[in-house]
Amino acid sequence: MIEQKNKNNRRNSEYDSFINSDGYSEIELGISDAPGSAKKQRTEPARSSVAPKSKKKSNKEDKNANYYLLLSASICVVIIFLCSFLTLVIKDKEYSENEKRYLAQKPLFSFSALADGSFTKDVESYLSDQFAGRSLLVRTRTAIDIFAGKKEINGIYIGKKHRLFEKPNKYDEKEISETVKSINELKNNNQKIRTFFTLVPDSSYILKDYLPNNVILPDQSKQIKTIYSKLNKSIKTIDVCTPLKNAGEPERLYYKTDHHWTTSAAQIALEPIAKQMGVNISKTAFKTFAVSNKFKGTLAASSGLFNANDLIEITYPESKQEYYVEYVDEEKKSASVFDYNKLNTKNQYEVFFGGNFAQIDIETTVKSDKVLMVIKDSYANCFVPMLTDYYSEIVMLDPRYFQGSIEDVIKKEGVTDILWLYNLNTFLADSSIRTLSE
Amino acid sequence: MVFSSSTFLIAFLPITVLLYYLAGVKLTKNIKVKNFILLIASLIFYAWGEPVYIVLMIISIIFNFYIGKDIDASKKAGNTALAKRSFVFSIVFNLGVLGFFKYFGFLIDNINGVLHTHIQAPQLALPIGISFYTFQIMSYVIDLYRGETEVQERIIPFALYISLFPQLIAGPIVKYKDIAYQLEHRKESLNKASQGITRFVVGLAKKLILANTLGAVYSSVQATPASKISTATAWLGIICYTLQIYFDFSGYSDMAIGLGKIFGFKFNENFNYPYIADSVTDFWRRWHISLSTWFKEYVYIPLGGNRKKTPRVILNLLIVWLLTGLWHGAAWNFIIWGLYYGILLIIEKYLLSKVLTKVPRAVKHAVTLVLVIIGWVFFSAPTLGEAFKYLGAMFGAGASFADAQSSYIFGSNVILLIIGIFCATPLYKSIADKFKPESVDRLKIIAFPILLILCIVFMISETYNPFLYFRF
Repeated sequence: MIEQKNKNNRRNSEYDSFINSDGYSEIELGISDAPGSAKKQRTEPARSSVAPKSKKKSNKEDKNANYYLLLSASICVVIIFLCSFLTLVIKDKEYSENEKRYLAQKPLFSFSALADGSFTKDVESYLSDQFAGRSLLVRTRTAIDIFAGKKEINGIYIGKKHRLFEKPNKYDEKEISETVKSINELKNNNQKIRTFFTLVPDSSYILKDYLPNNVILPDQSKQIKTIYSKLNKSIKTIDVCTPLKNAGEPERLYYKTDHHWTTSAAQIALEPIAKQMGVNISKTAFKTFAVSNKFKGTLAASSGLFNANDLIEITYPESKQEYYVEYVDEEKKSASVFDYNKLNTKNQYEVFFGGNFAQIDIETTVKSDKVLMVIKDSYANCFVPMLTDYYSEIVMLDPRYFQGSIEDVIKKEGVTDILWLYNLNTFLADSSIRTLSE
Repeated sequence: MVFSSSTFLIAFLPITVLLYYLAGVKLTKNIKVKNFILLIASLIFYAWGEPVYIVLMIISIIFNFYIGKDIDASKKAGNTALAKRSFVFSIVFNLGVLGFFKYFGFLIDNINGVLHTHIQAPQLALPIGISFYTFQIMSYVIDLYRGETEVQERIIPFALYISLFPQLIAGPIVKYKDIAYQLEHRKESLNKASQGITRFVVGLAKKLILANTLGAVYSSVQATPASKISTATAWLGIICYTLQIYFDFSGYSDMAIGLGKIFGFKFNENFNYPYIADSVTDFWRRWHISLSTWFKEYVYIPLGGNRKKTPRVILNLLIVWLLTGLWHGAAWNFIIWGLYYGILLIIEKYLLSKVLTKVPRAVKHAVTLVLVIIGWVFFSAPTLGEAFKYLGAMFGAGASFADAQSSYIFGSNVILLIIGIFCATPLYKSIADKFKPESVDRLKIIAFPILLILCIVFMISETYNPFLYFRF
């Protein structure tokens, strides 16, 4: 051994301007080699094919050390085999409620799938999606992250007082101008239809003070104003940033655990929107009910933080006007804009209309010549129930799901007014508006 | 397949180990059976993510196996000219394959740039691990030609040497002569296996717990335009990258060494706390040791090393470091990164060697770290231009000295940074020395299992985590 080292040293001193690779043979790995075994292994000649002379030198201490390491390694082996065994035995889950997606299922083997690489990919996602105790593992990770001082998990900011915030989407000049172009086109093709346009800011704008320290986000009211300025002048834009900003008790305007605005916020926005659309709401009495105080929204699900509850209220006009709701693609009818069954599911926000659908028609008994089309995202779902007293028909269109021709719907239903109602964050990322008038 | 995937951890690894120990070690006690099982496992491991390029690897194996026999036969027959011809043919073939798949597109791009032509380069995906296994094959052919190793007469041990899954896709680069004996005469033991398992867990933890989380911090900084990054943010970001690349790569080497030990192999160490180096020369003695050793043995020394006159030595160093840079990737920033180190090493050797002996170690350490960190800017940036913009942000051209973003990044990652810096140094050893060895050993009983469970937590809570070193 000494001989060999000298040889190495000689060699290295010859070439020491380059790298002396001798260093590594001296490495002591705190975690692995007990002193005796390290020496034994070092005697294996590095550069020859001669059999190593094993020099067994061990004392009691080493044996104990090896014994401890053996025990440790055995526990590791048990853990791995237990994971394999449990993953194999436990029944596969189909759907992950928290992630809102279907989990990968046992892939079917075929030679074509093997050849194009999809089989191995499917196995990978199957084994990670169906890993034993997966949701527990994910929750543990969240706990570790928070303990380590992380203020952001899966793109969700963990704010003050149990408030969660969605990270705003990027403002992409090019994408926005394409979206705006499509909106203007729809107006140009339907000159006679009164068109109104509203973007609602997210909670991270109205409730800035609850964001984690040092998180500074772009000014959403400025972004909204910029988008408004790009719209065709005959589209009437409605500012809801100011009334929301000026409303008292801002905490009630957004859910703590969900990315939506609350019904109270929608009611505040109703005033300027109704005024602009020429609807008189002063005579309407609105009723408000609390329907759930155990709402844990999408932000809780995406971050894995379930330590706060939210209150869901519904607000609707107290009147004798009757209506029914028709889900066009689903060929389903309902007597209420609220689907109370959804209060028993994880996503209780779906109490409004049962969720998002391509096209929902609300036929009312109101004597009016006005038919309103609301082109919208899910922010509108708690807002539209307040409008049922003013239009003979309301058509709700969600471009993310709507596949048909919007012009056909406008003609068929005799639409007289269009309201665009979007949350800014969805609007920034949504590409479905661009293909709407095609 | 990557080590940090559930497929590897709960399916591939347990099945391979069980088969190896049951059929090879217990039942037949036959090295041929053991090698066969490992070879099949390694081929499946490679084909898992590269169903097409496995053909390329197999062709390389067969070609080099026979050319090796040919070189040996010619040498034994005393026909040195024929041996030389076969040797040159093999080197041209191996470098040709590597060059075609790795550098051809880059070359065409540069030709197009200089001559304003529009030659279409084929869009080829880089075969995983080709840089690593080509260098392993070449170590065999070169040493065989030079008479430093014996010819391998059997194809299975030879194929196993090239495709051995622990080090197949991200090193360490094992020289044939270092492992030739083990290929056919290794012994497994419970002691080695438990060292191997715990070492694997340490590597997995470096990759999953530290490298991936640090990488996420760097990505968030990199996503900000360089003109808007404050000085403090730029430094925080690149420090995270510095730690990330160390834990990523050394974690991979730990896993490779650990897995090797489970099957009775002993690979040389690839890292030795590179960030405690007190000179750039020292850094390269501690960083990716198997690569720098390879270049030293097969390029630098054959070029004449430093037995030549000073200008030639400088040229040799520059050639070696240009190639080292190029090995890491076909892009200008890797070339600059390599030459940067070449120049630093030349300066250290010829201008500063006397001065450095008088400078306090702490100062040398700090300067070395800063130089290494600057190197990583070139390494991590997508283009050379981006690298210079980032450097600008680090040295005062940034938006401000510190801003909300830097406070936010620091505040939410300070614990991660402390743990990362702590784990990148041998400090834990000095702490362990303060306690009784007995209690340290007892702590190990629970420490590794806890680390493994944490790894599983991090692995499952992430869906996407390819190894950084796959690019090379």
